[in-house]
Amino acid sequence: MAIVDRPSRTVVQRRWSLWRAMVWPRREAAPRRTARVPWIPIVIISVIVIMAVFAPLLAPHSPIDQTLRDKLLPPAWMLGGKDKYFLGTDAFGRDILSRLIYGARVSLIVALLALTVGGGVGLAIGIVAGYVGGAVDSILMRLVDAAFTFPAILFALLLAVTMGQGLGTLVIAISLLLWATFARVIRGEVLALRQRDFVALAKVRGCSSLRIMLTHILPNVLNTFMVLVTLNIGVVIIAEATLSFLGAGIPPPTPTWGLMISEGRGRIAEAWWVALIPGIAITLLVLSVNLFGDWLRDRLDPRLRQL
Amino acid sequence: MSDQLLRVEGLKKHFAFTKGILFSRTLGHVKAVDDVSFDIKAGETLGLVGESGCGKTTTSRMILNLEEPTEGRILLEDEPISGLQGDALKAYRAKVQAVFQDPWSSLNPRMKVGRTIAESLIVNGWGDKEKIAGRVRELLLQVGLRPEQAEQYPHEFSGGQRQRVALAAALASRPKLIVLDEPVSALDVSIRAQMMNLLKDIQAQDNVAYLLVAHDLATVRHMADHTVVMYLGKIVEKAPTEQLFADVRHPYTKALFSAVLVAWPGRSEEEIELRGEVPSPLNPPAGCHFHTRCPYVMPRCSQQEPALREVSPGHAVACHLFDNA
Repeated sequence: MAIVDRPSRTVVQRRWSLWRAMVWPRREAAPRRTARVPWIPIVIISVIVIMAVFAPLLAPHSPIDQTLRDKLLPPAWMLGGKDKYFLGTDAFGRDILSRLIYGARVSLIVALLALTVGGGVGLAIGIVAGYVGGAVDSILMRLVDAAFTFPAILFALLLAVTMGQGLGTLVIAISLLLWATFARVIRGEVLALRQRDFVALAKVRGCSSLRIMLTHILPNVLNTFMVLVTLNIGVVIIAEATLSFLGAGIPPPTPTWGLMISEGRGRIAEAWWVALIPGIAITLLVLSVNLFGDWLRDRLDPRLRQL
Repeated sequence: MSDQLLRVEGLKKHFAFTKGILFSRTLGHVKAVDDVSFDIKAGETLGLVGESGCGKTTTSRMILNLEEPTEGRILLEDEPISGLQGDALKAYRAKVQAVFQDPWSSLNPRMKVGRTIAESLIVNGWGDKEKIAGRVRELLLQVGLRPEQAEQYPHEFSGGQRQRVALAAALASRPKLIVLDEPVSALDVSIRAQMMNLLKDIQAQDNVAYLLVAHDLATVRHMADHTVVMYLGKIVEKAPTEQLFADVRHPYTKALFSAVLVAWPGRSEEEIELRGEVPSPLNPPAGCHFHTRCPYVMPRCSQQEPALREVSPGHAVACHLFDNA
């Protein structure tokens, strides 16, 4: 048998992360390469997004209608489970799979709105503070410092009490938690950008400050903004779940994942699936979004690695 | 004196050096530019030379209206530029443009090159898209690039090409004066000559004046009609370039010339080697700022500041050596 000199196989270097280190301990310190596309997180995120968008088509039952006869049924593969209810039912006989599917909707709508509002405000404040500088910068950044010292969850609870529960309250509360992070990171970016010659040249060409901020600064911080958005989706989903769990989120009976955990918590010993299944859903989504965000950050903006 | 395009009179820029954020105290002033005067004729090049930190860039930034002078006046076509606002400022900006040193930082990486070139046209209300596109094509050809490159992004260009784009953008509004802040020092030596010749060609075509800020004497000799030498914020020597290179007077200028490597080593000429650092501009030496490093220092130099005076027509020197000349 002839010895054929085969080209050595390309070794794909995985990026180190706590998650991977637990599964595949790292053997040697390898040079860092471009991270692989995180396909599993992308698939999980896609499935959840599709669930949310097509909830009425996909859910086998109504998420709200109660069938008390079928209450606290275990998942279909367990003893006593019914095929009708694949993931079992809760204390009111509501199908957990259907509630999970509809709950994804709430999580994603809240995430979208809160990131648009909170992220947008943070982006604008960051650009203005960084570009205008001086007293404006000092005042805005002291506001950011103040926002960081505030216990966000407590503030959200306060808001829920005074404004009443609902989507609006939830979005405002989470936005208040988000904007400061965005403002601070974006401001730092703008400070660096402002020193670049093209900004001074834009001024020499006759551009107004507003024009410079919109056409020269904004497009150059969009990468950072996108990375911040993905890295914060997880934060928002957890905040939404936490607030719903505490009863300051969307009022029942609308299904949200946080609320589902809260409702199942009392019976976790006899009916673990009621609380555990939405818990797993949250974990999977947040983990996927964070892994995806990590990858995006490495691709678009490696300077943000410390975040 | 109306044939002067730009006149700079007694220009000063002092930066306050402060401590503390809320209740700041001024600890002192850095006299970045201290009483500088010169003028530039239309279609002419003035070279501004000196080591880093001597105030040449600050001077050019004041002319570009990016910094406010502490004292003194800048006049373009006999109009003072301080306090220009709104449309008058826009009109000034259209007449005075700039090309900066670093081609990697002077183009917006997220903006198509054509859009960067068109910027001053858009801001100055040309409006008509066809007209702007036509002008952009014309400018790209003028600086030796292809018109279809307008659709590309800066990262697709080399350093030399970027500098051409920056020049095209500066030329767009048909300025009368372009401030060239070290326009070739970031480029490969092989491309420098091309860029300098391009600048000269454009000057011949468009009758644009240049203020060439440089630390490289060869560039200045090749480009400039007049040369101004600065040291620690002050002009030490000012002369037509030919005359300056033929007859160096100020000891500091001599030292600058000695520092240039010559193509014929062994040529014996008076050489001055400077010792020590440039003194801190925060606390410049009394008298002549150069006396701490000057090989010809006299007792008077540390007490009395020498005035800039003409030693021959058009050639002015600030040095006590020529007090009786």
